[in-house]
Amino acid sequence: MVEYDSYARTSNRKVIAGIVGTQIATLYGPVPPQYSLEILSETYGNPGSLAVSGYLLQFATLQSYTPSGTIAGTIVQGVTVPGDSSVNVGHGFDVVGKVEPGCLLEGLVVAPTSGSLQVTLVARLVPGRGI
Amino acid sequence: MSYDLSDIESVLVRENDLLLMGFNGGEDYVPLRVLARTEVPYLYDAVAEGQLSAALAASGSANGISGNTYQPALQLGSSFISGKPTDVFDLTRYPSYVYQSFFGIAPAALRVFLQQPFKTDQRSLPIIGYTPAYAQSGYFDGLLSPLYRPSRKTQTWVMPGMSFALGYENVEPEAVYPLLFFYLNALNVAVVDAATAYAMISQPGLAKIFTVGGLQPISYNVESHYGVSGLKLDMTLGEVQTAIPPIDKNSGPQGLVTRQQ
Repeated sequence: MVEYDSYARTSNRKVIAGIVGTQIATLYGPVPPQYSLEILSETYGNPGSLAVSGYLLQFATLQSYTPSGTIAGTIVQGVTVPGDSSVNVGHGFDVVGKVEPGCLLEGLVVAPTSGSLQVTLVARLVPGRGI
Repeated sequence: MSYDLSDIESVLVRENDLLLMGFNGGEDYVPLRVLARTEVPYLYDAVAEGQLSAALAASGSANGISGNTYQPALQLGSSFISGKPTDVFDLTRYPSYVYQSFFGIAPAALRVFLQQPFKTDQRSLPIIGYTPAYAQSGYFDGLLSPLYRPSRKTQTWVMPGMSFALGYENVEPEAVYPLLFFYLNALNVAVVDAATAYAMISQPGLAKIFTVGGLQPISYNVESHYGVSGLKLDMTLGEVQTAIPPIDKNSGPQGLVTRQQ
């Protein structure tokens, strides 16, 4: 018999996709205050010829529902992608990043000043805070 | 990935099971025997079938409680079935049928609310009863009952003349398209005779007892659908015999009051 949790994992996934540039871009959110968003895999594609570095960040926008108070901007994931290449993080089963309740998930390219990344995330909402 | 029905398998009623189906807050129990059954999966896309005119809009709530997108309950119609029925679970014209229904839900955080009959909120308790402004209780969601693994906790009885409607709440910051996977245990039933009915209410364990809908008071006319009066669980044999009069031996199978169109 397959355990219940594996169904919660596979039926509870969502794909979050967007293009991230040097202006901060919201990918998802705000996460509902009674839920957290768990990121299970990340794919970063770089169509340019130069290496691009960027971040996934979270910002608290709703009332402070996070376990550690108001989040002004913390890094969920940092990545550097070589030119004409892509980077994978995670395989879709284990949690590789988490966005706290009430926070926006945002992306930002920091170098070079004109680069962009195609970001595709597999994530799931889980009820609760700080779990 | 495949369907997993292991959670509901053991609670599906079987052939020859005796059922006491409770209506009107326990005032009226109908004693039924399962003559035959079949199991039917039914995938229902609320937007594509026309129950909803569009996806549920993204929630704009700042606290996760008030201001979520709430869709009051609607009957489950279909714009694809011939005749475009407004309620695909309407058994009014099929009184020998009963559906023991379970459903899985996608997306996972979607909250699903039950009205049975239509316009009567079930699973709504005193004080914490759910409303569009406070939909924090009384819901099923996909975390409780994943789409491909319906939970036994979603058990809903679909009975003749007992309409059925579902409402939704979207707590997510994006539009969602509700998808439901019903698993229907479709039953062919008949009312039992008075002696069997008395045994069912007086011998613990002989019959499976269910409350149809919930605790909210409703008005369900047992006699018009089953031709007998509803039973109370503390009736005497004489009272049961009055509620279920003997049938004419020339008009149907011995010992069973069949309900036919």
